[in-house]
Amino acid sequence: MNKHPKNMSAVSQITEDIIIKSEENQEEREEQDTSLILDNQYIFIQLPSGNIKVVKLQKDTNVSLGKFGTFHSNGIIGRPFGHSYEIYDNYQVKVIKNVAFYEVDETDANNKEILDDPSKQKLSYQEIEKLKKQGLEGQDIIKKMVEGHSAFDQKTEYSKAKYIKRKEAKFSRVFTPINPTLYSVWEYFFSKNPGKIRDMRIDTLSQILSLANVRAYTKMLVVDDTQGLVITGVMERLGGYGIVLGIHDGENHNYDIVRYMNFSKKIHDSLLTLSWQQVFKEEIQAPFNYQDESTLSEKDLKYYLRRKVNYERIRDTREILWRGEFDGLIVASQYQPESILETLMPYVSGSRPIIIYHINKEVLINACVYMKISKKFLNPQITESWLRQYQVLPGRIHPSMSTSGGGGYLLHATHIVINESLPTPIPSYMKQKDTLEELNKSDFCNNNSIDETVKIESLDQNVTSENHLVNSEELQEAENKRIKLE
Amino acid sequence: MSFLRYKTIIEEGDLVIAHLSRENMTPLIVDSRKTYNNKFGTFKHKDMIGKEYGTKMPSHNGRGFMYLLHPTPELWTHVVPHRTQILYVADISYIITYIDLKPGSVVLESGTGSGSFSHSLARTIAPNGHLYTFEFHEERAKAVKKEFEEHGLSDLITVECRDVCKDGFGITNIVHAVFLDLPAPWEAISAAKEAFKQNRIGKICCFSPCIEQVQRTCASLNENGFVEIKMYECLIREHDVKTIPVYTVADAVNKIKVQQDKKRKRKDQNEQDDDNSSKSKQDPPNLYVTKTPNETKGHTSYLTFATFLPVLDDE
Repeated sequence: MNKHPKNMSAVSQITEDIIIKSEENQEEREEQDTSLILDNQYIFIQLPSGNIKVVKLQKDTNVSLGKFGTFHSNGIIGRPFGHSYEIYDNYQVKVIKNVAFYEVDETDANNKEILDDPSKQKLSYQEIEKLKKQGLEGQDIIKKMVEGHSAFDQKTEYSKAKYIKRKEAKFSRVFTPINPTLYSVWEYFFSKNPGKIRDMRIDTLSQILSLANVRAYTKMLVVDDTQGLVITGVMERLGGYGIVLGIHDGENHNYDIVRYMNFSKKIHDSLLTLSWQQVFKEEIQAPFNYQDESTLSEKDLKYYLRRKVNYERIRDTREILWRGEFDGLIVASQYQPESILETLMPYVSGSRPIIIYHINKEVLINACVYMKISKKFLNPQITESWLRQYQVLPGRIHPSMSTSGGGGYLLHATHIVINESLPTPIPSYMKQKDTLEELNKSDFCNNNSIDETVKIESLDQNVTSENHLVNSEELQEAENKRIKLE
Repeated sequence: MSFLRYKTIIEEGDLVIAHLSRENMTPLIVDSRKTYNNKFGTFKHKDMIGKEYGTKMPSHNGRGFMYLLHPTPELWTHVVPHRTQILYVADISYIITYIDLKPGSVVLESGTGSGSFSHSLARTIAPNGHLYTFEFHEERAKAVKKEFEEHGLSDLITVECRDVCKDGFGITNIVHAVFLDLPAPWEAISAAKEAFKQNRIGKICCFSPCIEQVQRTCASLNENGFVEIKMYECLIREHDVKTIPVYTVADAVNKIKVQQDKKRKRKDQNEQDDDNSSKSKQDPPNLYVTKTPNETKGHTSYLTFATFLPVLDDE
């Protein structure tokens, strides 16, 4: 311990500094424009097959879309997101107009005469391949196929459109660059491997961000085992104004998803991380051996500085955590929620939201019981989101035939401050009993209605307790249950 | 500034959401001369001053208590004076994500209604975004305008009293996203198209309770060149946690036996009591379970989304 460049009060200033620093930047209104396709950024590409491919775009390179062709990246860089492009003349792209679904009208044709007969198509596979080799545009191939289809006119307009769509999925060379947003990034990971993001559906994630009141100028504590999906959402909503402290599994964090958002440096800087080990004060951080930088060789200095920055970052982040006063806790973790609450609740301010996500409700039930008993939580509640998409074709509106079966569960509550100096009486039932069954019969979670008869009783006994604040309904229910069984 | 910044300690003039129960919450502006009376007792405002937000505060006469909560847009939806039908958290959350709002976004809302959704929008686009909100009912527009001022949101929100279906929005080439909660959203879609920032992608959401409205909205979105027209419904279901005793068949048999014993005792009252009847009285094991409410929200509105395409140079 030869040198200690920062004293403690300076460290504790850090959070304030970050918030104030970002305030100064408020003037720079025009942030990096996320609506343009830029060099050196991640984009998603929707293929004619409906699949989505993720690409890190680099200028002056060719981007391969497999069987759908290859295009030159400069053709789309600098253009706005939104349009679809068709590949032509190998590597060239041109914007194509989106075909609107409402152009499909209802007709008198029906599918009575339609038989699934491959002989109806006069073009053979070999002929089609030849057309592709000739560099014919996808739209033209499809046109030729329609011409080659002997029974095409017998189809309804609707099935004609369906036929063309099916052929487009195979032969079209149209792709759509998609800008990474929380929604599109989620969509990509959810369709690819939902387990990696703990099966969290976007509506559930959206509710987490609302219920946790994530916005600029907040200091959020997040336990994220969703590859950084939740962290990504929080970072975006902070917009670089505030802090998100991520507690991660393992020694190094694995917030892989964060990078696909192409966040600015300012937003990246709002992310701080600690491992579970680093959370605990008992786990002493190995001291850093400060050296005289002028004596080091250039190569050693680079290495030394990297180690120094890393050491100081962890040291300062730990100070920020222990200083507490976080504006909310979000948990989407494989670890037991109760143990996480035990560990992290001391760092959360009063009247701030606590949100715990899990795909298995049972895990949350136990955590909910824990919350109800602990008295530190107001209104612990388990909710489940339900999302249904509809097909919206003219005259054919109905819910999708198949849908996601569940988007996970949320347990949420508000952190309560029990001020010891206030004459808050300790209810007698709290003194001996701590099972939920006992609590169910009385007031444990802010059922504030007064049962008149019970009140009179307790006044008679001249007891100062909360027993008179009993939810009459629950009491009655418990009573009824007993009567029924006896 | 309480909606845009958290405070730790309650001071004079602050907004506090007094939470008495889940169904009973009231917004209070702390004024040390005032007293708040309710069926749980007398609460003096001056007792709140200096307390931390989130404190459980007993009443002055010891009858009950209340929680002093920090205002959030979510709590505000519970306490907002219900001037119109309001949006709920499931819809609010999904819309904000889907139309890609974040700090710095510029968004258009119509109608403003009770201003409940405006609070959520303003929260998300702060500190450097902007919300243009339009309400054609003059009294309502005035009331929300005052409310936004009280809540420190007036720098972020521009309220205008305007019949947008007839007169349009009066803004062009500005916004990134549009939210229409109107009886006939299709009448405002072509005006909304002009409001979008023309050289970038944008998102629109139309909020309508009836499927017929959705149908007309989709047709209008399509005619106006919007793409990716998609429609969703999003609801939240609660799961209440409680314990239930798990009785076995043996308990059922026992219960009958106890009843029979009682009858027998009544018959031969002279006979001596033996302890047989009560010997097997044991509490059954408890099981933690959840139950969905008997009645819950079954429908709020359909959410119709679409994408505004950037205008090409040759268009």
